Amino acid sequence: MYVNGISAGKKLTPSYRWDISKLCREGDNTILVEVANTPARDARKAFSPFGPEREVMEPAGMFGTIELLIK
Amino acid sequence: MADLKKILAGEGENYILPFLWLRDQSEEVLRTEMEKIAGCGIRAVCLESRPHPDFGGPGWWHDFDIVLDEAKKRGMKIWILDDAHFPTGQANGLIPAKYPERARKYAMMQYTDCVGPVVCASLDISLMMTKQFTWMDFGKPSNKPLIDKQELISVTAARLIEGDVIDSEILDLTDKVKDGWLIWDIPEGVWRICISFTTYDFGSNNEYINYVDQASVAALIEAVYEPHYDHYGDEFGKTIAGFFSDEPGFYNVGGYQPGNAIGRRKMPLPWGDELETLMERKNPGWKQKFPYLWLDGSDRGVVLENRYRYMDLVSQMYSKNFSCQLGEWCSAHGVEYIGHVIEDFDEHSRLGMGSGHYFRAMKGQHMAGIDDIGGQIIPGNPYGMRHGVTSDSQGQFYHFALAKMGASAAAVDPAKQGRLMCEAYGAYGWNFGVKSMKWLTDFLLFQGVNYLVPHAFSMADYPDMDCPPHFYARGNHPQYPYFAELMKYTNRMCNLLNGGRNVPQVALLYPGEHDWMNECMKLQAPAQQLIQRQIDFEIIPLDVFDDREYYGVQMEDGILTVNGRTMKAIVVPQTSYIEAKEAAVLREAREARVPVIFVNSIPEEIIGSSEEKLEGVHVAALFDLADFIHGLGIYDLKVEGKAENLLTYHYSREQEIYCFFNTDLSKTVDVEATIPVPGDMAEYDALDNCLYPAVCRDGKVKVKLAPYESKILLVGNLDGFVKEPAPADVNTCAGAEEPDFTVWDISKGWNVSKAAAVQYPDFPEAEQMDTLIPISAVSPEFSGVMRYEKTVSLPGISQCIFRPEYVYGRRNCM
Repeated sequence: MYVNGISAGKKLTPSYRWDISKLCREGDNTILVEVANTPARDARKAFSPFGPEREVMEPAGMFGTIELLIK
Repeated sequence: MADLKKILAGEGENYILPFLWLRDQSEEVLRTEMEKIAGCGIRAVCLESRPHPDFGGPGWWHDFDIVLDEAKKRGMKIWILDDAHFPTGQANGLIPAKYPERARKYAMMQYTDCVGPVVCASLDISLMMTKQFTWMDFGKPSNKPLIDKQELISVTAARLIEGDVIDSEILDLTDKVKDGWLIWDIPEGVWRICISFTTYDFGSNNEYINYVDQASVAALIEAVYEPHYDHYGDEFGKTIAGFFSDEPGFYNVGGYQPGNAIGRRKMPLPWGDELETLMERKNPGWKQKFPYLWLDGSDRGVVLENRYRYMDLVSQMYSKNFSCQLGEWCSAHGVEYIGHVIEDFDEHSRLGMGSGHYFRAMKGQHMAGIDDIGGQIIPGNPYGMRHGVTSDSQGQFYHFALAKMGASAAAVDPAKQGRLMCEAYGAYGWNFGVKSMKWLTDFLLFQGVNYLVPHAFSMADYPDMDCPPHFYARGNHPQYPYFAELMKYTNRMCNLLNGGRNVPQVALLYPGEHDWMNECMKLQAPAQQLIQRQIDFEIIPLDVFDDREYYGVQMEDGILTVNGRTMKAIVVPQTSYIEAKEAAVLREAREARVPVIFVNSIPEEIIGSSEEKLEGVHVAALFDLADFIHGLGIYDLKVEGKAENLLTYHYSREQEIYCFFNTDLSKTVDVEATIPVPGDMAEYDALDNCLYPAVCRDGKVKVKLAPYESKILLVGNLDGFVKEPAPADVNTCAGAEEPDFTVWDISKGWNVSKAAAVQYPDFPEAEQMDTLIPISAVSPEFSGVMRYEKTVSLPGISQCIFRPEYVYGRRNCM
C-alpha cells in the first residue's frame, strides 16, 4: 500500500488494515494498493499431479466496501 | 540480550536453507536464482540434484563451482542433499556398479500347513526359500536380485490353532534338513511348518544400500560424501555447511503404503550380519521364535517380546550404521549432518518407509528434522483426511504430533542444541500462496521449528509442475516480493527462538515401543488435548533413561528433568502392553513422586517381566487429560476460558518469550492470559522488526487475535530496545472496535490495472472501475499484480485508517 507515493507497508495476511495517518495530508491524497495473487490461475495450462489446480481458488484482487476511518 | 540487539539492528543470523534444484540451466539463470534467494535475506541453499543430468559428474562440479562462487560472494552457506534422488539410499548407483555384495538384505519367512499323521513326509526347503510364482506374474519379466542367495535361519513346526495363530510349543526341525529337503514324521493334527531364511530377494530396491549394515552405508559415503570432500575439502566447515538426507527409511517394502507394523503386515524384514549377531546375543532362541515376527501365537507375551526385541535391535542398527555413521563422518570433516525421515501415516515407529524409531533415526543428526509437504498441515483444517499422492492419512498427526516430535528430539538430545529443521511448503501446489505460508510458518515456529528448508527454488521453465510452488519461478511468481518478506520474518523469528529452550510442563512418553507390540493410542491423540489447552510438553523416548548422564536425566521431588527441561508429570498414551523397561522407569518415577498418568486405561500386561507392577498410577480419560493436569496444579501460561485454536509457545532465553497464534480461519480469539513471570514486557513485531511496550495489568495480557494473527511478547530486561510510543492497534483486529472514527466510503471510482509478474512494475494504462469486483471474475486465468489507484481529498485529520472489505476471498476484520 502506498499513500502519495510512499509505502505504507506490505501485508502478508489478514487483517488488511493500514494506519496511514502519517502519510496523509490535507487536500488531495493518492491512494495506491497492489494485490498479488498466486500463479495458480496462470499455471493451469500444464498437466501433472500438480495441475491444473483442483482446489478451490480464491478470488483475485481487492473488492467490496473500501473505507477510510478518520478522526 | 546481544542476540536481540542484533536482530533489531537487522544483523541476525541465517536459519533458512531452501532447496535449490540444480538441472541443465544456464550459468546466467543459476547466478540470477542465487541473487533472488539472497534477495529474501536467505543466506544458505541446500542443493538438490534430482533434476540434474550428471550428479557427481563433470556437469555437476561445473554447476557446483558457480553456486560456490555466488555463495562466497554473498556470504551464503551450502548444504548438499546426499543422493541423486530421494530417498537417500541409492548411493548414486555405486552398489550395483562396485559393491553388489553390500546390496540390501532381508529376512523372510514362508510356511506350509499340513495335516498329520504322515510318516517320512518331505518338503523342498530350497524351493520354500524362493518367491512363489503367481498368476499375476505371467508375462512379466523375472527380476533377479543383485545376489541370488538364500541362507536358512530355521525350519520350525507348531500346531496351528486357528487363522495365523500357532501353538507356543515350537518344534525345531532345522537339523532334519538334508540336501535342501526336510524329512519329518508329521504327528497327528494340523501343523504349520515355517521356513525362516535370509535373502536379497522379496524386498524392494535391492540395489540400494542396506541401512542396517555399516559397510553398505559406507558405499553412500564413498559415492557422495567423499567426492564432494575431494572437490571442496577446503570449504568444508566454511562455505559448505553439511549434508542433508532426504526420506531414508528401511524400504523393505516398496512404495509409500502405510501400515508397516511388525507382525501386522506380512513382509520381508530388514536384515544384516551385525543384526544377526546381536539377535544371537540379546535374544537367545530367536531362530525358533522367528515366525512370531509374522504369526501370532497362543502365548501372546512371547510373541510380543520377540517383536519388541527385533524392532529394538533393527532400529538400533539403523541408528548406529546409517544415521550415526553419516553424522560421525560429517563431524570428522568439519560439517553437520541433517535431514528427515518419513514420519507420515504414523510410520515413524515402523518398517517400510519408516525407520523404526523416530528418535533413534535422528540420533546421528546435528539437528532434528521433519518435513511437511503436499498439504499435510492445512490452515484451519486439522481433522480432515489427507488424500495424498501416494496414500491417505489423518490430518491430526500433522497438526498435533509432527512438529512436537521433532522439537522434542531437538530438545532432549544435547547434540542437537535445540535445533529443529523443517522442510516445508513443497508440493502444496501453486495455489499455496504467501498468506498460507505465513500461517504454516507460525504454526511450525510455535511448536518448535527453528530452521526452515523452503521447498523449492526451481530454475526450470515456468510453470514447472514438479512439486510446486517455486518461489521465484524465473520471475513468474507474483508473490516473490512477499515471500521475501516472509523469509526475513522467519529468519528473525528463528533467531529469537534459538539458543534457549521451550518450557514443557509434562512429559508425553513416545509410544514407538507400544506400537511395536500392538495397535495403541497414537501420539497425536493426547498431543492434541495438550496443545489445545496450552500445556506444553516434551515427547520423551524411553532411550533417555538408558544413558542418563548424556541426556541429563533426573527424577526427584516430583520433577523429571531431561537435558535441562523440567516436567511435572509423565503422560502415557493408552496401550494394552508395555515392556519391562518402561514399567521400571514408571515405577522409579512414582518413587520420585513424579505423577504417572495413563490415558484412558492401565495396560493389561507387562511384557518381559513378572515382577513389575503398575501401582499408584493415575488414569485420566483422553478428553479430561488437560483438566486432570491442571487439577494437579500444573500450569505455565494460564488462559482464562477455553480457546482450542489458540496456539501458544513459551521460549526461555535471556528474555522469556511468549507467542500466541490464532490458528482458526474464521473466529477471533479473545482471551486473557496470565504471564507467570515478572519483568518489563514488550510486544515484538517481527514483520516490521520493532519492539513496542505491551499493555499488561497485574501480569494479565489481553490476547485478541483475528484469523492469521499472532502476537509475540518479550518479558525481562528490555532496557533501551522498546520504541515509544506504541502504534495504535489499528493495524490489527484488536483495533477494530476503535471508537470515534468517521467512516468514509471510498468504494467507487478506482483506476485499475494489472500486470503479470514478469511485466511488473510496468502496468498498462488503467481502466476505471465504478464498482470493484474480483479481477478473477473478468480474467479467470490471470495471475499477477493488480493495482488500484484513487485520489481522495481529505480535511485536516489526526488519524486515518485504510480498510478494504475484501482482499482475496476472506472478509477483512471490519
